Amino acid sequence: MTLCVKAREYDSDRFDRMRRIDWLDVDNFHKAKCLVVGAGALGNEVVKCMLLAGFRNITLVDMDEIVTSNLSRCVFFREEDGGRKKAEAVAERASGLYPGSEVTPIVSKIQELKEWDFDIVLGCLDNISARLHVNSHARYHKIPYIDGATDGFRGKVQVVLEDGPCLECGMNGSHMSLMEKRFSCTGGGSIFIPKLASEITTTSVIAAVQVREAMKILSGRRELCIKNVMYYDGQSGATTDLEISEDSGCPNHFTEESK
Amino acid sequence: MTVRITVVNTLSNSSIRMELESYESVEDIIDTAAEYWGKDAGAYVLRKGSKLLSKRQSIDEINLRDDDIIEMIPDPEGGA
Repeated sequence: MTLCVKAREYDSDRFDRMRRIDWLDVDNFHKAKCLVVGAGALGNEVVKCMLLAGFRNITLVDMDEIVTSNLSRCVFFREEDGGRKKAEAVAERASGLYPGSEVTPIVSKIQELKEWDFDIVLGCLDNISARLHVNSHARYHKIPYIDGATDGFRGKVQVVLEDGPCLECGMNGSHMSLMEKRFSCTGGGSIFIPKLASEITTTSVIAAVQVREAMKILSGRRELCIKNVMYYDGQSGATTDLEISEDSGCPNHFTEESK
Repeated sequence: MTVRITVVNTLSNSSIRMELESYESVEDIIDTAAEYWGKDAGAYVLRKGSKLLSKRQSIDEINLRDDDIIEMIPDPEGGA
């Protein structure tokens, strides 16, 4: 039987052009419960891409406040937002981008999040300590975790699935030294976050790749995902995918059998 | 057994020759290279071909041979 459509009907479906990629499961994006950790530069771009791609249910965690220097990279922030909580500002402005979507802001440290009932986690963080926390919780709750990071024109995206290597498997002593240094700078329980170089084009590339990997996972196409980490050099435009081996000594891979 | 490899700093494109014993680890290469280039402030990973080297692996385990080239890649931390 020949399919009959009304003239121009396809233009009234917001996701018509996406549905033409036959393996993309847009309906599953609508249903997915998503956690985005961090509402800074990467968090803004990730939420923007997610809403445009049809994600409707996003919980956004960030404890930080908006400052003027955020405005060069954060699409949802405005001049008058100084002092507002980042997560709340993103949630408020994002609702206009995709009516019917719900971005729920949680103003707290990720370490204070109790419920981990999500289908996917996207990390948009700025420090190793918080990344390790999200990594271990996502792993424990068997939730796919897509971590993004940038430094000037360089960036990376790591895909952590329920099995296989996790974020910690790819780390070494230099990461631990850096983490200790961040804590020792404050002399207390809080963490010192240095002002690292950052610009919007690299942020956009990394955030877009994060969301694209989430789309693959939620479309049941894990075999297409980055294995396991992608490094991006914005100066040359080159990307490199590197495999990571599962570290048998990693605490996130500890099982009864490995005792 | 001793192997002599080249470690390339991908940030500056400079390189150093390094002499390693078979029992030494990936961690030893990172520490030595970071100290040489004065890069104690950041996190780094090592790449050989398409693989990111694991910190616990010894020179023997990763099958390093004379004149192999290892790349040292700065691992980004930011995102805010």
